[in-house]
Amino acid sequence: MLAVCPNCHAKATVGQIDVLSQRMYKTRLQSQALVRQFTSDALRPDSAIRFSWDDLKTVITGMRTLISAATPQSSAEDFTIVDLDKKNRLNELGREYFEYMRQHHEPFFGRITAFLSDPTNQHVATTYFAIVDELRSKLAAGRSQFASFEEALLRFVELATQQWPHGNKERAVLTILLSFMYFNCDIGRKS
Amino acid sequence: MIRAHKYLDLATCVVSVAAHILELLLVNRAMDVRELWEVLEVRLGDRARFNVLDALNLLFLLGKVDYDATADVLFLREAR
Repeated sequence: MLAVCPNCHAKATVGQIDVLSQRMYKTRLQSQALVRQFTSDALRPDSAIRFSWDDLKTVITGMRTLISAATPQSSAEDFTIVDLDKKNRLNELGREYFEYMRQHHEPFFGRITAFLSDPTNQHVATTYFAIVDELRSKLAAGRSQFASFEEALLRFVELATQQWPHGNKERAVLTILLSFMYFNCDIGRKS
Repeated sequence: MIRAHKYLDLATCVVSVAAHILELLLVNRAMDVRELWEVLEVRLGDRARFNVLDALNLLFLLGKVDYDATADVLFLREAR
């Protein structure tokens, strides 16, 4: 009876609405609430609206080679290089941090380049470019939350190292790798 | 296999190794596969070793080289 409004409640009391109608009305309300509950987030696995994630995965797997073969934005084939001073201005990278990168990270860049260009590390290079592509989109989406580019980079390092069991040990390597990406124009705005 | 990427080592990439194989075969006409492999390793370094097989596949697909399995010899296919 709680589901019935005061007007209808009064009608039920005086017998203008029969018990059967009341029950039908309440059952209809319950089923509507149930549908709302399971359709509010249509992408939930238990949603009443079924979405076939497996089908989506099949289509994506089939199209992967097609897309990767024709994506001009792929970092692996992005050969554009920008003057670092201009890039620092575009990305609002602090002068202090840039000098820090130069002094402490740049000495390792030659070794990283050699590692990535080694044919035996081809699978690592492929993963590297996939990470760069993802990182580019993440930085583009979240850049406005940070006052400077180095803040965004350091926040990323912090988050990433939290995910790994011995993340603190990898912190330095990841920081150098991000600097390498920045210096080689893999990440950061170029225009 | 032959697509270039930003950090590709041009000296030891598949296309470069294929060019060296053609050069060697133009001079020698036919070469033992192991010998060819060793010459390339000396010329281009250890890294090139990894791409020799891909380079041979590329040249075979392009119809530039052929392989005699009984003699284990690689030779240049005559131009028609």
